[in-house]
Amino acid sequence: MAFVTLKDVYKRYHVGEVTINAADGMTFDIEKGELAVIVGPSGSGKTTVLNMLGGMDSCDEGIISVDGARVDGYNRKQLTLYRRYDIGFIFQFYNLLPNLTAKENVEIAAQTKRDYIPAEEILRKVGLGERMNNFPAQLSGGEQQRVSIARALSKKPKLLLCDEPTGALDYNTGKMILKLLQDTCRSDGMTVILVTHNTAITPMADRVIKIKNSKASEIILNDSPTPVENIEW
Amino acid sequence: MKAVNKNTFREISKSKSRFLSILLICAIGVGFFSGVRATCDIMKTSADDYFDEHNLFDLRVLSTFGLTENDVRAISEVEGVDGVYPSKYTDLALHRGDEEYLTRIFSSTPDEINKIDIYEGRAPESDGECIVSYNKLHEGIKVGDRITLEDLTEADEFPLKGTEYTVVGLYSTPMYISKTQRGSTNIGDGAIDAFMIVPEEQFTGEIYTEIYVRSDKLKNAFSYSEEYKELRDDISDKLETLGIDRSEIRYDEVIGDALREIEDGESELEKAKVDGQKELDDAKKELDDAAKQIADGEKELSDAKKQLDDGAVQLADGEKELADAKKEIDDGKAALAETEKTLVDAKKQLDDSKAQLDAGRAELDSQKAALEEGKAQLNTARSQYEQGLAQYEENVKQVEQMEQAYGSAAVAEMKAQLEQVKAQLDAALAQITQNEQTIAAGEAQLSAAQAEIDAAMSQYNAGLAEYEDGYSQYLDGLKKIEDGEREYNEGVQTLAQKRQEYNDGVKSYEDGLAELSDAKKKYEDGLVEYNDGVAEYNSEIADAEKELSDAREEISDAGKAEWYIFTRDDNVGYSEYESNSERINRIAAIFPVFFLLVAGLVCLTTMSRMVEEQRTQIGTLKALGYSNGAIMRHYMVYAVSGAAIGGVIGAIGGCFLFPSVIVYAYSMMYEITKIHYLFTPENMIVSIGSMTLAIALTVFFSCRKALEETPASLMRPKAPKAGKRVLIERIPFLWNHMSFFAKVSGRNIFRYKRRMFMTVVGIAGCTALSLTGLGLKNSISDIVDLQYDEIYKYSGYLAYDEDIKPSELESIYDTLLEYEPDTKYTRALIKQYETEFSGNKVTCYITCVEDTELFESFVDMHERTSGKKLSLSDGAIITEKAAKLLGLSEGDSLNIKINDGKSGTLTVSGITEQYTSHYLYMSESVYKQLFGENPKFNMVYFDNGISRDETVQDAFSEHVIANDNVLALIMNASSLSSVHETLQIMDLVTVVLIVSAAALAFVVLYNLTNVNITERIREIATLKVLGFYDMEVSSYIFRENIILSIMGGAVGLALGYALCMFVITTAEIDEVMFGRSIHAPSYLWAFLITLAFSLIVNFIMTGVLKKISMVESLKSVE
Repeated sequence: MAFVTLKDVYKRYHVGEVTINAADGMTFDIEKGELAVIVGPSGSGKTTVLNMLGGMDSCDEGIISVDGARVDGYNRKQLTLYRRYDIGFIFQFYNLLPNLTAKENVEIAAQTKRDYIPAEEILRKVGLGERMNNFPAQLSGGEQQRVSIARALSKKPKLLLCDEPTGALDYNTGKMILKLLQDTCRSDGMTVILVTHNTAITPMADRVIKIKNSKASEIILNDSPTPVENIEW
Repeated sequence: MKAVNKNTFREISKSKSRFLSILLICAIGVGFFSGVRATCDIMKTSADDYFDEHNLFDLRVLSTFGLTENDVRAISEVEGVDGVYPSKYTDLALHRGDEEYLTRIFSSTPDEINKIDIYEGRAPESDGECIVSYNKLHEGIKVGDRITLEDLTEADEFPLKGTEYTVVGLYSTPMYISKTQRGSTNIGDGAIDAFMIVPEEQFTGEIYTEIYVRSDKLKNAFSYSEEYKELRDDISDKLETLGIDRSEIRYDEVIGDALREIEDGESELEKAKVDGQKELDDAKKELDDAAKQIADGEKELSDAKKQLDDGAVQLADGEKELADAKKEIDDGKAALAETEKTLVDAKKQLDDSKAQLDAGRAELDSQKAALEEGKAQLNTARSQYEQGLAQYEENVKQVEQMEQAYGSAAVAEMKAQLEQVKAQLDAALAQITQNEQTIAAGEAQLSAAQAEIDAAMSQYNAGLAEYEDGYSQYLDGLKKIEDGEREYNEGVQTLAQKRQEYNDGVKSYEDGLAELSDAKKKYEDGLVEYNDGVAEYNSEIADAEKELSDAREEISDAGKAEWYIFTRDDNVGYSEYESNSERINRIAAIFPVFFLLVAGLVCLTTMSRMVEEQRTQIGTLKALGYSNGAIMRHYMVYAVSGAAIGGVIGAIGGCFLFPSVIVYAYSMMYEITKIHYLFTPENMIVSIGSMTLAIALTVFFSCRKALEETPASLMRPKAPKAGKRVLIERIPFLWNHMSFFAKVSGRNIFRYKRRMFMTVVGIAGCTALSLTGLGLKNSISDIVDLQYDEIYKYSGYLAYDEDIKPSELESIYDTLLEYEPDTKYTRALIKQYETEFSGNKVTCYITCVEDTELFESFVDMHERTSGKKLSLSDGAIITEKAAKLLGLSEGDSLNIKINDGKSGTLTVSGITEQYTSHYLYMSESVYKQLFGENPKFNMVYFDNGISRDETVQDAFSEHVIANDNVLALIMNASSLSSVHETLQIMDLVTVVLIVSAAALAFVVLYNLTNVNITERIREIATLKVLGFYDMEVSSYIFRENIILSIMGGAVGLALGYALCMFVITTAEIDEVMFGRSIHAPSYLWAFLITLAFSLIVNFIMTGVLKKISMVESLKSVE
């Protein structure tokens, strides 16, 4: 069994009398240590998949398994623990706590786990050794996103989930962030799942999962991913 | 409907909870504001209704000389007067069993004036029936009870026809709306305990005590209004003017008559004096004569008595003499008889002796002859013998011669023969001698016999002579006896005569004696009569003199006849009720403002948040070309409609709720129970209007900033507030020791300063209200604890009649000592007087103490704040609340209204801590100076250290009351429980305050937490995504709440202290001073109550937090 498996996953939202299928028999696998990119147009259901994988949402039907554990059957409490110990999440708008410094934003996550990378170490690693005592408002978007990545990594998660991490960033900064993610995957053997609507960045992935109409329409395995530096869009 | 307006209404239905929270806080704010504001007017209006319904008098006329029908007629002619009702009253002591109540007894008046409410039973109909005022504090009297009345004054005439009445009903009167205070009187301890009504015919006097005046104009005016006061004063002035004339007429009537009567009386008295004295003198003379006569008679009688006694002795002697004589005679007779017998015997003996003598003589003669013969014979023999002897002697001589001669032999023969002869001779001699002897004997015998016979003869002769003597004596005796007998008989006869005479004497003596004692008795009776007469004369004269001088004094004392016009204000309770209602108004000035402020702040937060949330919408509308005004109108309509609806609900609810609670609370003290609800436009407009205006202002301020921005910037999400270092971070020592979450919370609190401020204000308000509620309770329990534990150290006091005899007073002491030998006690005089200082008037109990030193151990007198001990030896001491009401301070001169318009002044030397009633303590010397007379003690304060346990108290009371000299017993333990009852009102206030506190805390915290959550929903979602447990997420938010609650609580405790003191000073009733300190546990409780409310809100909000969806909240802004 693959490290991450989705099999016939359904997720339906009821808005009034209309039912929207956000996941309509979604099926794909991702292996450990891979950098997977889930790509699709707006509203295709890619964020729903990520949310379900991250334990922020539950599926109505189907199997979701991560590292051999059946996440689909988790109750509220188990989901919390799952998010706490197994998942690192990176958002488009960083979602840093504005009232905490960079270091504190990392610490608040790190301290939920016994086994964690100290905040200062991880911040230095993402290149923010000098700015760790700044508040988010004092940091640029890229820096904020790096804090966000540091926060996710400090927990040593099994799975790093990124939701449009470059969506709010300029081109260069976005590239830097993608580089950081790719490096993390390569050097630390971290399994990274990245959701984006930007198909241009798919070459950097080990595995590309294309989503259309709430289904995984195509899964492409890339044996030789392109380093981010070489990708242009 | 315009789309913009549609949007507004949809907005409301979409965000119900927000709309509701605005509505609710406004409802509470307006409810408080309007309700408390209306209460004063509602209380007054309810009272006015009550007074109108019961036709309470508007004016009351009293005169020093009483009032007559003429006065009634004169008053009814005064302009503006529509009803005149004369009435009588008198103050008496009412007894029911052992209890005594000072009671004012009124004559019944028609329902058109001072209409009474009969709670139970019926009106009095026949003689001996009465109704008694219904009074919570004296619930003792029941329908069907028999009561007796006693006049405590020295009046000659009992003011009522009967002294015993049966209670047939219980009533309340509009004249005295206070249930606790009954006004004062000149009798007993001065405080009226109860009222009573009997039919007017029950009064013996003709003169009316007072006249009630009623005016239709005044009835239509509002009782406590200025208009009423002006109209009333108009009529009052007219009555005063009338009073001057009427008084003069009345004076002439009463005093003129009285003076004439006195003068008549005086001349009559003079005449009576002279007549009486003369009569007495005559009687005295008569009595003296009688006394002399009696003395003479007595002397005479005693002489007679002496004579009689002598006579009796003589009689007894005579009798004895006679008896002796008789005995002598008898003895003589017996002796004579014996003598006779002896004489006869002697005669016979004599005769016998004679015969014997004769015989003896004859024999003697014969014997003599014989003897002569023998003698002759003998003589012969003798001569023979001598011859023979002479022969013989010759023979012998011969024989001797012969013998000499011849030899013996030859003579032998002759000798023998001689011998023989000799023998013969001897024999013959012997014979002769013998014969001679015999003859001598015979001769002696004969001479003896001769002598004997001679003796016998002489004896005989003597006997004979004796006999003859005896015989003659006998004859003499016989004669004597006969004389004696005759004499004796004569004596007997004389004695009998004498006895008769004596007996007659005794009888006449006894008669005399009886006569004398009769005379004496008559004299004594006469004397007693005389003395009585003198005493009667003296006392009658003295009485008459006293009566006359009293009458004269009375006339001079009576001074001028004067009318007194009283208004309702002079009645106990009437104006007190007014000041109580105004007190509520003063509270109304602070509480509602507070609630208004909080409501405004809450709305400000809510609306700011709303505007912030709807930046995009505002931007869009702006982009579409809507004016700022049009956009603001959306929010205005939203908030103002909420405020208006809430305001209307609050105003209506508040105007029902608060007056109800407060009037209910006061109904424990006043008769007024029916509430006249008022929804005055003014109150509605002011309360709802001010709230709406405040909300409109908050909306304006919330929108203004957003509306100034460009549509483009509005449509961009507003960057969350940047984090900032807080002050505490600059103190590394503290900061480094804080937990990570504590740091976060600390920073968060200061990030949202406005919210922090508002939360603190709201929570502080909650704590302050709770503390006020609890503090009020403390201050009341303080009354009990401080008054009855710290100040009153004695056990109780008892009342007795001031004219008690020393022995009866002693018996009271004995009763106390019997129960507990260690009882300490001292006498005191307690009486109510009106005191005045700088225009303020307070009715005080003037308490004059006999043993000041002991009393100071009974009542701990000290200044409250400094704790300085006060001593009665330094001067008079007044209680704190009285001093405060009077505005009096130490060393000031206090005016005391002594009866009859006189007043005295004394310097107050100290102000002592005291919580119930007003006292003015003083020593005997101070009293003497003030009143110019010695105090007549009427109370005994005592301390016997008995427990407050009810059974112990009951047993003690029973023991003491058994002593008839004890009129009443007031134990501190029982006063204490009645204080508890009176002050239960405050319990209700406490509950109201705590409920308000809860409402406030809830609304504020709920609202602010809600805002907090929506504002920070992304943070919360992020934390959730990071895998924080629900608990951790909640505590992340609520830690701030709790910290703010603690801060608010701390502020609230300070605020609460101030508020509580304000409420205590404005709310406390005049006779009572509440405690001035809040106890430590109350601070703790107020704090805990606040925290509890805060935790409840947190608990409710935990659910909201749980429901927050990560996916929704973190959705990127499109």
